[in-house]
Amino acid sequence: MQQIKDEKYQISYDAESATICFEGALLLNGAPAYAPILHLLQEAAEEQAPKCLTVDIRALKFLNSSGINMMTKFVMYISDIKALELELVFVAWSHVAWQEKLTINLTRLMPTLQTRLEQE
Amino acid sequence: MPENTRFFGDFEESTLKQGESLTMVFSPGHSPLKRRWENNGLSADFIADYFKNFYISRQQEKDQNSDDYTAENLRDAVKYVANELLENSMKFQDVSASFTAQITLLLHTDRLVFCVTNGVKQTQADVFLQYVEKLLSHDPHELYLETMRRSARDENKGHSGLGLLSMICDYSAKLGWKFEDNPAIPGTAIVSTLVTLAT
Repeated sequence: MQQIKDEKYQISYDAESATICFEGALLLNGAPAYAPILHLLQEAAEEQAPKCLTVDIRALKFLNSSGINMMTKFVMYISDIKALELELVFVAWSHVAWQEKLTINLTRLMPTLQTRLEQE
Repeated sequence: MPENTRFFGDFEESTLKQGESLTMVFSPGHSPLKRRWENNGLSADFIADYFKNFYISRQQEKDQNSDDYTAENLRDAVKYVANELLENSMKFQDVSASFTAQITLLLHTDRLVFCVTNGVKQTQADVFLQYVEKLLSHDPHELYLETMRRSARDENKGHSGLGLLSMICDYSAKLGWKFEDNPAIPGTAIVSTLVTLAT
């Protein structure tokens, strides 16, 4: 298990289950502050290709625009920059509007991205 | 009104003079940027909780039970907008000019208005003005997608430019700006951003 942790957030990557879980609130200052998290995501994608990688954002309470930017960089890295053969699945809550909007925006950038909207 | 005052987008000054409001004032030199950055989240949470409380009691007055999800999603929207506006004002604030930035939240019956006023260097105001003109002359959804695509290849750029676009595209916010010269401190300008969210 690889983790990036702070008192307000936690990102965990479990290679065995091919799942990355986001928890807490991410309000970091700009792209440089998000670089370690983006690096973890990119490494996980490279490691899991050509299989499946699940990104679970249900426990993420807040993401600022720099965080949205990190997510867009991540899906563009897979679909465009590296053109990885990877089945990418985002898991979000259906009742949390911003989570659904984020997955819609990411799907515009990566049409093969799959979204699983879960109900509470 | 100073001669050099210019308005762009949806900026109705009259909306700032009505209704209940909450204002927070920030001094740039008061504490280090890292500490003030952390405070953005706290301030945004406070503003969002203040709004949620107002919204729920208003729904109860109208004998309408707001479901928890609607109230919570509105709270998330308020926190997002407040936090982005605070982050922007901190990023572009002219620290040397010691201009106090302020954010005001105005509660109207059918909408919520945020107004952030900030002191910036004239050169930064000019760059921002160009960005505002670009925002107003393009389809925001296309610009949002284009900005996301472009910034994905732009490795070290600190500022993504997604904040205002996401307010428009993801939260259906209406935005307006006021640019004023600041005669008290030559070479600086006062920029006010107005964001209106329908509730």
